[in-house]
Amino acid sequence: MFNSLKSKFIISFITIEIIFFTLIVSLNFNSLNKASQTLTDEKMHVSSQLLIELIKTPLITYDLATLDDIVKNFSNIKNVIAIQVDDVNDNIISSYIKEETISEETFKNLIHDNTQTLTKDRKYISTLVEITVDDEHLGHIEFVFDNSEHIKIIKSNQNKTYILIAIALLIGFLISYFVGNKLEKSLKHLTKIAKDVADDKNVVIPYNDSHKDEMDELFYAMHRMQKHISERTLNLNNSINDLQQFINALNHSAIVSKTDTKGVITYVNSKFCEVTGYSEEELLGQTHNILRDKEVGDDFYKDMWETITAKKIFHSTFKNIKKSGEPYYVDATIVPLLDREGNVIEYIAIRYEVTEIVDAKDKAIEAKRIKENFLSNMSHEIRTPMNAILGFVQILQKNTTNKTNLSHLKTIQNSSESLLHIINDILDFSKIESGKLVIDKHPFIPQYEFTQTIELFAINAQDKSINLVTNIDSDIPNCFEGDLTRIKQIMFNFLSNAIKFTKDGKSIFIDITYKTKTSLLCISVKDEGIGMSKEAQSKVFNAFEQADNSTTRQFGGTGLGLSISSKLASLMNGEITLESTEGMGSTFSLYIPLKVCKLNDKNLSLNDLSTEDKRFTGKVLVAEDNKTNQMLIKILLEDYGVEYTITDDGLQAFKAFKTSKYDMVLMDENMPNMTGIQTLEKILKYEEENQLKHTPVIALTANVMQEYKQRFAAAGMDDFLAKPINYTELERVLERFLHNSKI
Amino acid sequence: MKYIYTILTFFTIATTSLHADIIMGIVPQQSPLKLLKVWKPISTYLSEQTGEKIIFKTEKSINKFEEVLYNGGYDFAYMNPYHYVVANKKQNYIAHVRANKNIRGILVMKTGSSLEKLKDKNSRYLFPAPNAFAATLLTKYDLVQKFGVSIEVLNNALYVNSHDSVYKGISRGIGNIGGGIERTYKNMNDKNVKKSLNIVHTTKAYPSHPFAFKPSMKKEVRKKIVDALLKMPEPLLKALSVKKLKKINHTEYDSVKSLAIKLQIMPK
Repeated sequence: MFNSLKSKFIISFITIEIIFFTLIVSLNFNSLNKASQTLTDEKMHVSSQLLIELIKTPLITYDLATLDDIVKNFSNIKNVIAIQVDDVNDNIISSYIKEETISEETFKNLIHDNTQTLTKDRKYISTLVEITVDDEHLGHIEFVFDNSEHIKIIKSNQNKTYILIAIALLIGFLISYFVGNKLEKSLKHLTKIAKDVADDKNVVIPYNDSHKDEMDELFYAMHRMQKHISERTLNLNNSINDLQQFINALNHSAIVSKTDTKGVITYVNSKFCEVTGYSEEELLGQTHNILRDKEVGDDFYKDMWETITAKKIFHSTFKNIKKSGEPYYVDATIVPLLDREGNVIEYIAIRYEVTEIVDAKDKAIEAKRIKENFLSNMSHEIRTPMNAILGFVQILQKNTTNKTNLSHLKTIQNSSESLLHIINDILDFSKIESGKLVIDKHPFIPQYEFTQTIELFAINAQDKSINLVTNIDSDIPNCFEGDLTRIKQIMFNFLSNAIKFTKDGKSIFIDITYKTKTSLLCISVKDEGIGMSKEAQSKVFNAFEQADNSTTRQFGGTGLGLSISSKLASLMNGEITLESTEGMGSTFSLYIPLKVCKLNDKNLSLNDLSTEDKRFTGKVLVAEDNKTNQMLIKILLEDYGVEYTITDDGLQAFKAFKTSKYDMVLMDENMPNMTGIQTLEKILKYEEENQLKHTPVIALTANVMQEYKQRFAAAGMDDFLAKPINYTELERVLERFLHNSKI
Repeated sequence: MKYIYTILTFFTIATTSLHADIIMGIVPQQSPLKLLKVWKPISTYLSEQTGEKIIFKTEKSINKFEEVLYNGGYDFAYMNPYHYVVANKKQNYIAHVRANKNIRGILVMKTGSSLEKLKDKNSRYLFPAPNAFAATLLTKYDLVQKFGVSIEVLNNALYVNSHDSVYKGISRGIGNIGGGIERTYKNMNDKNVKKSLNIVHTTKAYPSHPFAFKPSMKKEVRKKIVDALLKMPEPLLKALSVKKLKKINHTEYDSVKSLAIKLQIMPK
């Protein structure tokens, strides 16, 4: 019966009420009694002292009439019911008794007993007070005090208090009963709702938006909770459904397995069994070592284990072995599954068989390697005869005065240069694609270099009556540090395109500016050519594409030029922009950031770039096996007035080096008996053994790939001269290592 | 405002000087409470009748009363005949009114006491005050003349302030013989006391207590008071145990004066 919340509530409430009331009442009654007693005592004390003072004189003079009057008047004081005055001889000399309240006999008894409780509600208190004057005893007074009124007041107070307590308890009981009842009813209702919600029944929870009390709030909270639970359950079911579909999709496509924290397989899907050839029974309880390929090193598995135990996701492609012993590749992702505290509980591995992809990739890499080698060889093989053709054309031009022949020679030169240009384009594209193209920065004088480059197109422009309008900003600094070759290559591309696509009699505008704030060099070439459609503009920077196929047919070219230019600009942290209107012309602009440098003796000066004929003094040893090239070099060196010795291979060259003193060695790489590098090593060793001053050795090769340059430099070559040798490059090398002797 | 205040002050002073309080002194022969009960209504009556403000005044003791009276402290006073002859001599107080009766002294003893006690050396005499006319002086005179007892010689007298105290003292054994007067004895309310006493001797009659006026009092005022006294209503007279008040000539007190001389208590 007392287990219900209501009973507990009522009992607790009433108990607390009773305890508090009892404490309050007992304290109150106790205080009241004490106060009453104190009041009575004080009243009696004050009264007796007053009486004594009043009766002293009449007592001394035996003025009994006055004494009687005083006594009688004194007896009018409330609650004083009898007084007696005795003289020093204990003779009663005055007395007064209120006969209606007390008999003479009772009075006498009281004088003996001091206190007498006559009935439950009536109490008389007697007191005796001595009368003295200056320590002389005159007598004493006795008087009786009726304390009944105080008792009556206290009793009345107590009775009223008891009634009030009873009323308070009754009200308390009724309130607690009412509240408890309401609470019990609400809680039972809530319990039923909670059970129904737990049983997944459809429940409507009544609630009141206005929240009159906590119970309303509880109902409202329950309503919200139920709403959230419903939404969450729906979301959860949807998620489970989605998840199940994901799992199905995953099981159909991926090899899935789970392992415990020790790496023991606890789950495999059917795909796993299908690919590996193992049954589920064979796999469960095993580790993935069952699939391990011995070629995959321990370090790989150590790294994998360290990654996943550190709660990170491991991803890699590696080789496994099927039950049949057949190898296969998987692209695996291993994810650690964590509990709420963040501890690993198991690992899930999702693998895709990528054997075909890996094979294809391997084949592609091999193909690429073959292609690069082919390009390299092609470059070398084509450049060598081109070297001879161009070299001899130059020699013939110098020695021929017949105009027809000169015209033919010019055609041969143009065709050869065009062919060389195409080869260079293909080679550059190949280098860019394989990431082997390196930007080589040197200081250069922009005004001079850009003017020189533009001038190269002057004849072509003149041939087509095209007006070249050049505007080079006079504020352009004297010296930039950058890859001049590549910048010129881009300019070359812009200008050759502009001349190619501009009809006779039109103009080409070249604008070159530099913005100090942004350190941006802008080279802009605007033509009045055929222009491009929007579609054509979007394709023009793609490799092997021109504005349209008819362009290739009409104007020629590989379609690589702008693609290479664009990529070179990117490599130099710049960009190329294009503005074009079909039929109106196009503007190509190159923007690249360039550092300004100071012009000094150490880098370059305009004098060095003088175009006047140069002569050099010195003796050069040439190691070249190709007879045509030997002849070409011979002619070139003679032109510069340099002495030389030609040898057919490295062995001969080393022999010649030992027998005579040379100022410079031009060393071909690919030679019979001893390669260029082997010969260099011999020379260096010889110099060291004989403590000779080092003679500069310059690599002479048609192989212009950057890696070859690096290889030569690493071997100890002092410089590099690309074949086919042209005057400019040869002059640069001679100038560096020989004495200059002006005519 | 200041001007008005000054005028008011002046007016109050003037009024006071014109209508000064008239002090009516009463000999304290009874307890002050009893005196107040009897005399307060009389003073009120006189004030109403005369239009004067008449204030009742008494003293703690007869001695004090005598001191004030003999210094002219009251405008008019009710006093015993001996007091009157002294006051007349000292301050020229003149008696104009007295009760229409004579005064006699009495000696009381406890019922059953022997007259022999009168002469007993151990007997204690109680008197209201040394100069109470009838209760002390007349009784002392008769004790000497008729019983050959000299109180002064016995030196055993106790003055208990009032007649009632004398009677109560004898009744409660404080003394053996007490001096009083017929009127006070008769007016004694305490039946238990009265029952226990006997009058053992009554003296010769003398004129009773007079109302004597200070000679400085204006005649018209005095007249108004005398007239009012003579017309005093019966309830007030009854409280005084007097049937009627009458107008007198002050020579009526010559017998008192000669008695005082005989008792050698007349001041020179």
